[in-house]
Amino acid sequence: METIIRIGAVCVLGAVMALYLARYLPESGMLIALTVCAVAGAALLTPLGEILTFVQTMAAWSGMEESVFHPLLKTVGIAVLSRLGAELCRDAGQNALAALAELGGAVGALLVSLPLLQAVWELLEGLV
Amino acid sequence: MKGLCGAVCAVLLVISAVVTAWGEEGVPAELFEALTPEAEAQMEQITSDAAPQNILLNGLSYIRQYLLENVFSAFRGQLAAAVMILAVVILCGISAQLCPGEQSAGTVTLAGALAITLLAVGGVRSMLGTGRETIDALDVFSKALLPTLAAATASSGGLISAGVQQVATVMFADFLMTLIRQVLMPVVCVYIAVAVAEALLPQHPIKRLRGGIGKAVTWALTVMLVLFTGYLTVSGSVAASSDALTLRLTRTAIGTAVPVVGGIISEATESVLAGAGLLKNSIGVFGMLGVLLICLTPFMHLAVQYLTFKLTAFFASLAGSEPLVELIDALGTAFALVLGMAGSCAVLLLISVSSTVSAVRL
Repeated sequence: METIIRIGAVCVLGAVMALYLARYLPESGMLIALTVCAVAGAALLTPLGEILTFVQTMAAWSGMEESVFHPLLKTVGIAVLSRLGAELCRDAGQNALAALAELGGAVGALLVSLPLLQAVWELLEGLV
Repeated sequence: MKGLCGAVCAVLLVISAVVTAWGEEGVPAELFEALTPEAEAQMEQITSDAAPQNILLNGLSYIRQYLLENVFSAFRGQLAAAVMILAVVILCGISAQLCPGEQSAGTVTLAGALAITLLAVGGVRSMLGTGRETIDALDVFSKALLPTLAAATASSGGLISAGVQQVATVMFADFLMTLIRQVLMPVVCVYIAVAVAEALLPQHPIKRLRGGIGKAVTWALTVMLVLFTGYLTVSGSVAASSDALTLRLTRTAIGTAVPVVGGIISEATESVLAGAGLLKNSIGVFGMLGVLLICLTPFMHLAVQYLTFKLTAFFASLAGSEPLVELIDALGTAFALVLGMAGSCAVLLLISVSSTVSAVRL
């Protein structure tokens, strides 16, 4: 609970600072956003780690194989990171870079899902 | 003349006694051997416990008891697969909340659909294997049952009925089972492939293809059963009337043509035919029970898997994205299609046997 309050407070503070400093140094807004994202991301690592451990425990209990579980987790992580990068680019007014960041995320997710796709293809080939 | 009359009466009495005794003892051993090992053990348990006239009731009671004892353990066996699939759906739902963009949601849904397909592969393979084995077992049993039933029907006075009904059943059963093995089973595999493709490409209008495939399989099975039932109804009534007329004419001819003992012989044939009718009914009841027992365990497992996937789709719809929910629902429908195929083979045999048993000799 404290972590979430801290992250929320840091983000709000960063937004206010960026808004204030943007009048004098327009580029400072982007730098402040990047810094706050890095700090908040670092603060989120511990809770995310606990959630990940719990999810892994549940997956192990249900008998889900790692070859199914890990690509899925990686895809979720790639989606989060690419979304974050794209939004930062949009905040800086760079829509083209934002689109490229999202494309990169999609390509990364596809690459990570390739083993799953191959396994499904072999399964369907065997059935038909 | 007296010697001839005595010999004829003795022969008729012996035939009557043998047929009646055979009917009382039960069915030929070949029919037991044509059952699957599990069904054979269950049939022996049913027939050993009950009097001959109570075998059908005893059998239905056994089936009810078996279902009550085993259906919950079958559900527990499917629980792990359902939990895994729900876990994937929930994970994808959480990530959709974290990254509400369309592109992010698309990639996560893609990975989720692939994961769900891989998690369901064990169930899909066992579903297809179970369906094929059940149809093969029904095929083997029908090849033993139908000729035996035809012989019993003919010996009970239904010569034309035996020829018409049993030939029709053999023809329809053979065609239906070949159609299922060669065409409909591969079509179900295509159905599953299309369902996976639909989940990977949610905006693509491939959904109609999947719906069309499902309807085509259902229609094919329904048309076969309707045609068979219609043919049996029409041909059965005509054949029964012909048999009754033939019997009446034969009795009249015997009574008129054979001097002195013609009337006695004509009356004696009544008891012979009654004994043969008893045998026909015993074989018919055995046949119906045999079909039900062959289908009992496979149908229970297929129905449980079908219900599990449908329930999983229902719970997934509360938390997950539509493509994943529809994929899970489609996998459940695939189980229903295989269940329907095996069920139609069983129903075809049951209709044929029950129409033979319930035919009343005029």
